[in-house]
Amino acid sequence: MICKCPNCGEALSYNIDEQLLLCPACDSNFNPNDAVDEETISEYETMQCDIYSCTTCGAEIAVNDVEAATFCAYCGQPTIIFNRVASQKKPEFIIPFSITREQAEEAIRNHLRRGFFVDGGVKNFQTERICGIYVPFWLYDVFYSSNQVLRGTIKHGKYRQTHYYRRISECTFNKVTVDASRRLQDESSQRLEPFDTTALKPFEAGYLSGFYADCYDSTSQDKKFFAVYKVKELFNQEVIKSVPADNVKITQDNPTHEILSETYAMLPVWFLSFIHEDKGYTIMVNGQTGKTVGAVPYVKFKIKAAIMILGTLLSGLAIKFLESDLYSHPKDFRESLFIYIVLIFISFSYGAKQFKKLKKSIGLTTAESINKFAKERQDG
Amino acid sequence: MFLLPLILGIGIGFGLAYAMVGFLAVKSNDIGNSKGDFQDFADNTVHIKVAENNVSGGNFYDL
Repeated sequence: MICKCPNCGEALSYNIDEQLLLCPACDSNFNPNDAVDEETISEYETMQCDIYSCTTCGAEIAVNDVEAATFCAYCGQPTIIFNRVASQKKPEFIIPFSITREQAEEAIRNHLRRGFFVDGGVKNFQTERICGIYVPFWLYDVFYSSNQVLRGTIKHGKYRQTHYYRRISECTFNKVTVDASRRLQDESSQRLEPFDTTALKPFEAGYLSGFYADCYDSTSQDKKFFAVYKVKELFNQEVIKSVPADNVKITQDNPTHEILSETYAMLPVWFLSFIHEDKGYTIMVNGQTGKTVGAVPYVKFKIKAAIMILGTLLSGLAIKFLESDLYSHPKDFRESLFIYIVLIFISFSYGAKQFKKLKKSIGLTTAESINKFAKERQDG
Repeated sequence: MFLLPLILGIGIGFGLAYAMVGFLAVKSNDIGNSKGDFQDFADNTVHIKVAENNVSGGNFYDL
């Protein structure tokens, strides 16, 4: 989508620092609300888009540019075929970028610089591989209530007694965000949360200038389930906190919910993609808050060395302690044997869980879908 | 007799080392692992209309 300068006709770009549309040719600036021609705004909540396929690479994107001759943003080829005209639902709201490309890059560099186990090749990524994309989101207002019975335990001296609790509760959740793009994994987009939805502005096409934007390909009907599931988790966590016991679990649940409103909005995200050892990685930065999301490969040698050195030191200390315990209190040592075995089991389990968590995060960062989501725009 | 503290000591030492290095690796390499929480989507707390403690766990209570 391109907004043109009314003075010289050059394409305008949205400047994050100024929060205005700037013309690179004549240095004029415009409010995004004023930059779009009134005559082109449709009376209805749709916007006309030309959907075209590039004859060279087959890429399909939506633009509302009236130019007959242009170039493909993916492969740079000038030959375009206009395939069809489609009416896409116009977003109601947008959160403009407030984190600049430089700030996003700096946020990523700061995180990677601090990582002891981060590969040196990853720390020095190429600066050009960052692009800003407005990602489509559905925002839901949800009323949720439930009649629940919960079970918890309370310690009485040496014993634990089980108690039951009843809660009838309700809550209204505002602007629950669910990404409306099939290509961007929900697990990844959720980690970008939270967005400050009080900063939502009425949508104007001018805000998109200088950035990429995707239209939704998952309807609000498709994504309602995710919103309700998310609300249910948040609701249950709060109800469990209200119970004055330990190990609280919900044993009976009778929930009801109502979707009060559904809103289509575009939210800002910076995407950084790079190749490391023939594998693609994509790190995301929340374009409003600057929150950085992604996992990078670790140096296996450093991990193994750290475990060996730390393990040797701790083993030495543990052996010394256990030896003295065995010789001074042999009866107590036998009783504590079970505790030592449980400690070993818990330690290895926790470590395995952490590495599994890291592996899963790296999997999300290297997912082909997210790499393709970002990379295909950068090469244009 | 020395064998038991040796085996246990190695197990505890390397177990704790594995746990600590795992924790540090996640801190170092996994950025922004958390999702939005309750306060991000709800202005007020959950309104608890009925709160009964020490009830019978077997029955399901109707509204």
